[in-house]
Amino acid sequence: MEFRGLVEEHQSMVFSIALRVLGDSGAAEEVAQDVFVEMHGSLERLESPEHVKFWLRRVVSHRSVDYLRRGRLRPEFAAEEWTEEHGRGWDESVVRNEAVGMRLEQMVSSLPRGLRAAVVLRYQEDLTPDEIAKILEQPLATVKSNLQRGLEMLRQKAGTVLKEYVRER
Amino acid sequence: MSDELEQEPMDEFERDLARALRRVEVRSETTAKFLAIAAEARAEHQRTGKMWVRPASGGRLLFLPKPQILLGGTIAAVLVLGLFAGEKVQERRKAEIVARQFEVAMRITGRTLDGVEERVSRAGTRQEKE
Repeated sequence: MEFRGLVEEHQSMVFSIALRVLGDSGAAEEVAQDVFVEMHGSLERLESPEHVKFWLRRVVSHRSVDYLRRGRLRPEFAAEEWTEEHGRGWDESVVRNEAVGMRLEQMVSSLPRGLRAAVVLRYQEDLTPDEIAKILEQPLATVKSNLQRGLEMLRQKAGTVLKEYVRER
Repeated sequence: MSDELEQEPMDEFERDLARALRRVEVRSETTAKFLAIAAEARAEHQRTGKMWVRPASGGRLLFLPKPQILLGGTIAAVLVLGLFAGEKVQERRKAEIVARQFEVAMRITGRTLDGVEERVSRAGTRQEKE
């Protein structure tokens, strides 16, 4: 498999997963770089296009979570604080005017760390909980519970912070 | 859960979420950077056998020496430490021997002094009798 072609084909997926998990484009670029360097060294072991995709999703998810664990980004809110704290101080007029999608994206990137990768893989990559469990190497029950919790938190948050959005619907 | 997630179609909120999380297009400069850094790592590895690592504090990739060199360095360090430790043990043994010899010498000196003292006191007693 030709390296350049693989980078061009998958860079958007790799960068986007890292970006949504990390919430920081510089960090996402760094993680994506490392993933491609690692892929370069593993090309001989990647057997098919599906394998490449699975491998990239797995490696970028793990590297992003590792990056968060090393604590090089801003501290996160604990799960119980998240609904109250996150978004406090947002200018309501800005909230009204900014694209709803952007606010949702920001909310995902500030979810408690343990929940982010599963939510990103589910809604960005359109993967099933079973596929996510294989990628994150977690039990299926954990993935399902993280997805449900993440989704509930996002719904609740959108209901309070994006009132205009809720009324429009 | 979530048979909601597995089987049922997404609701409005989930569809919005999926739309909000559409993949981001990567700028061409970023692609060039991905390709360049991978090529650099590959070339470095082929030329010198060095492996790459990203420091925990972030920043540029670092290249480590060949595993054989790392292994050789580790063995050399262990040998040097071993020699140093051996030398220390020798020194300690020598000090123990010297201390023991000193102790013996002191004991001999003590016994000699006792003998001399006894002889002197016996000579004194004899003179008094005479």
